[in-house]
Amino acid sequence: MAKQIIFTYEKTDYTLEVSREAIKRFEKNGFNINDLGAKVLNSMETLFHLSLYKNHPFIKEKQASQMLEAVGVGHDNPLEVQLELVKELVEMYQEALNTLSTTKKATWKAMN
Amino acid sequence: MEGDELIGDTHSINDEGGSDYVTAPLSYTEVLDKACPIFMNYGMSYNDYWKGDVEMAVFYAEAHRLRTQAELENHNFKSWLLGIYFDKATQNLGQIILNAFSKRPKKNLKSVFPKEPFDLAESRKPQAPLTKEAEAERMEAIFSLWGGTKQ
Repeated sequence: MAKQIIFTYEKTDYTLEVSREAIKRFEKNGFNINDLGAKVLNSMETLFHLSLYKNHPFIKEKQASQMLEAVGVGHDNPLEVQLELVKELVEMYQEALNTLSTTKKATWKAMN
Repeated sequence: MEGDELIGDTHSINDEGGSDYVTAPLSYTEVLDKACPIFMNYGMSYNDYWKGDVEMAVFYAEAHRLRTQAELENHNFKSWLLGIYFDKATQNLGQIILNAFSKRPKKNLKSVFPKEPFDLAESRKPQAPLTKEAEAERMEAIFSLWGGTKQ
């Protein structure tokens, strides 16, 4: 099973998961994962909306933004918590492509 | 494997009609579009590819690899078997040709090509009936399992 995240908002559970269809659909609408560095906030919201698309296709962009804004509320640095979530979402996004390559995986470890 | 070539494929055609390597990588959509028919060839459905669990592709690719390997081994075995038949058929061929030009040809020389194909599934052969001793041993083993006659 590919990675999924259970996101709870207002006592309702939402499953965040990335599908290839969602990637294609959102890229068609102008989303580019590489923009995450330059336009963090916008891209974060779109990426979050994208990850909802597979299991909750009827959620609108505005509602997705509200859900993301609720992340980290009450925390000292809400953006930091949101970024942690986004980091996971980026991994899930990349997984959609990485699973197409069957090259044996290599690992590395930095030594002192 | 075909899928390995997809990522980082930056090949394009230049103005002069020749091919060039450009720096702009393919977008995710382009890579996904390119990979779709490859994975459909592996037996993955269109819906599974686009809407299903992304990890499914890994298993389809692995299944394809195993299938290809099994086909290759099967083909190799068939070729080897053909070689054996051919070898059998041509065992006396040299002698037969020599006989044609010989003043004193050897008699009873003929092709030794097997009249029937080799029985590759020997397990299908009916088993020979057990001898009396073997039958007695078998019965003794059965009785001993029931806590039988042996001390």
